[in-house]
Amino acid sequence: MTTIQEILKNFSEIRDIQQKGDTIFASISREDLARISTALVNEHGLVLSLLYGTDDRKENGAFGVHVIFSQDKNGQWFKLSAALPENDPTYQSLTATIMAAHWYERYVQDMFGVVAVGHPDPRRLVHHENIPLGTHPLRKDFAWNAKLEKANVLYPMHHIKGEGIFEIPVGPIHAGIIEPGHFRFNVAGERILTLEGKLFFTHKGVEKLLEGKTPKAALPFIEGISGDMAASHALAYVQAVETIAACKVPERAQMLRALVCELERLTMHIHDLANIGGMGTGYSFIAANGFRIKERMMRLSDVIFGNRFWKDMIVLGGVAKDIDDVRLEKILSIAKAAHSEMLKIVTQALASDGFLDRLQTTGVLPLEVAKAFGALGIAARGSGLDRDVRRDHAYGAYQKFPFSVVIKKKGDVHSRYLVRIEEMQETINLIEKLIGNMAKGEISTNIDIKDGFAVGAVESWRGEILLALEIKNGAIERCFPRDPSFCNWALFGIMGPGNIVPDFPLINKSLNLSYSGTDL
Amino acid sequence: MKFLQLLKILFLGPKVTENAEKIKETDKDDSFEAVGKELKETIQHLYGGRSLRIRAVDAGSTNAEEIEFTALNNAYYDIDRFGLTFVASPRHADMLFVSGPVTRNLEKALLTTYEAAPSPCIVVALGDGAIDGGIWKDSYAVVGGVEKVIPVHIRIPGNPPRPIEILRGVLHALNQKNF
Repeated sequence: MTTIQEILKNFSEIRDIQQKGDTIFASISREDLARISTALVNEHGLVLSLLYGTDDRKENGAFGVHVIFSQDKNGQWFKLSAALPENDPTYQSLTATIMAAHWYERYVQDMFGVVAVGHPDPRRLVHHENIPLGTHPLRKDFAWNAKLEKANVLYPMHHIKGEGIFEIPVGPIHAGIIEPGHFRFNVAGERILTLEGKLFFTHKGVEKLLEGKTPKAALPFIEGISGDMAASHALAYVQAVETIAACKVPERAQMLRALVCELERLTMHIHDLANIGGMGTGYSFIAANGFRIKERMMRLSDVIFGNRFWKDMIVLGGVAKDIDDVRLEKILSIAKAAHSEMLKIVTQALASDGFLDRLQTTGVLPLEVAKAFGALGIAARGSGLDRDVRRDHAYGAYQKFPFSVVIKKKGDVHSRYLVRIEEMQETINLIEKLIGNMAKGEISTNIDIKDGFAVGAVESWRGEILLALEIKNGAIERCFPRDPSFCNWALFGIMGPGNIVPDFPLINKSLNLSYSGTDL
Repeated sequence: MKFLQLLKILFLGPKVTENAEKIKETDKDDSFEAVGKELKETIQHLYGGRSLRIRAVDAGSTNAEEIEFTALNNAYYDIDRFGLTFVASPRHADMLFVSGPVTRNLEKALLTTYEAAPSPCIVVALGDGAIDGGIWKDSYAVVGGVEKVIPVHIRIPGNPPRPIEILRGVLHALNQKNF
């Protein structure tokens, strides 16, 4: 497989090529950014994994737009940056040719006031009616604690007109106990014609709050990005800080970190299998038993870490506390019992024709769409897209303990259900290997914070977390922790239409995206 | 055959709704069961034998609180047996569980939910964020604690509070009866 360095030889427009570890950096003029990015994706098979902005006006009088590509086969990241002059912060939109960029560009437009010229859908994304025009929170001259005026800016949504077409607005406060989001269904009878979401209700300003914090003080905010993914987000973040500091984490700490993340994965896969099967289809037997099994995993976390969410364990330089052999054995036996019992429950579910009828051919995500939208995690693997950061950009203990990536091809709710079931098995195997071969020694090391840039990538149970981090003068200059949900939300616009309205909750549960993680 | 299997699991499967003795073993604090029983009596006394209906509102949480609300319904806790039920609409609610620092984008939705609930409505602020904004306090995107938008009667701290802490907080507040 050609490396990024070889690919870049084809492009004279790309300048200042540097390499640090597995990440290659380069810059390009804003006029060429869209064209060259398109060539990298279409002709050289790179994946657009992240697009974010920076405010560098103090340093060079310009805004920055940065695109991070992944070269899965070689485990390389490629960051391509363009500078946009302060008095004309515009660049040619990438979305026209790379669909995966569409939300990122709207996001950058809201947060920085940087305009992607030619974006097919330049509406506001993060800012709702109540945010005044011209509010760009991530500009450096915007105070983190600014008190914004009341406003009433339009937030238009798509409509279809015609005889017998109805529009169903749902949310942000839903009937079930879930997070807030607003969905608009345009329907003919029960059939969904279009489906659009309005999110960012829980936007708390995480990125702005992170600015200026020391790497250590930022950790609680990172763990608070999405409550059910605390360990994975923390791991992505500390790995970025450690890469910049060239800090070598002891082997035992790396293995304990992987163990915590796999336990988080097992807990949430059990939750999802119960939730899809039970709450999604009304087969309450699955939910009653699944949630009971999940509670045991949460109690296990409480016994070992003193909280029910696998939190407070992963810290800069290692892990916060050691787990002795007795407790490791206890973890293994509880995890194994939870897995084998959950397997019995889902076997029961999959034997029901009524259950399969709800899951099969529902919410189909075709492979081409998954690729184009940059789908991640279970959504991608359920549609045959073979990607997993743990293998493609192996980090920490995963370098030593290989596993199989589970792929299903049909792209329906059933495929995603099966992916979870088989991933549970892989996770149990990993937990067994990690505990069986647990390294002896230190659990943390001193870390000298250094300045610089790095990405942190982790395959959480939901999918790939990619975090871009820049540290300057020992404090966070810019941090964009991209949750996999951010890339997957737009998929509903494709998966919803054609199904009937009552299937939407089921499709929604089959992805189980984080609102809080997307909204930041 | 499969049907028989289903019946077998249904009737002969493990029973895990825990009794007081077992809770005492696993929980360091007072038993969940005891809190629940006391709560049941209080609710029966206050609501004349009817149950207490709760509507959960996420006003900007990290979703950990929502996971704990869902957990209250699992077989271990099963709060329905104490006369507490989560309902789908604020119109049916006696009590609101509000989680998270109230974000600007949810301020209006929270207020509308409160106004839709019949009066008197007991408002519970759950978690550090809901009490005073927590670590998100003063952010440009956050209004602050729940009390900045609607009146709050009960505060249950935690990040997030455990199921038993939620139940104990509700019991404690109902016993004070000063709404």
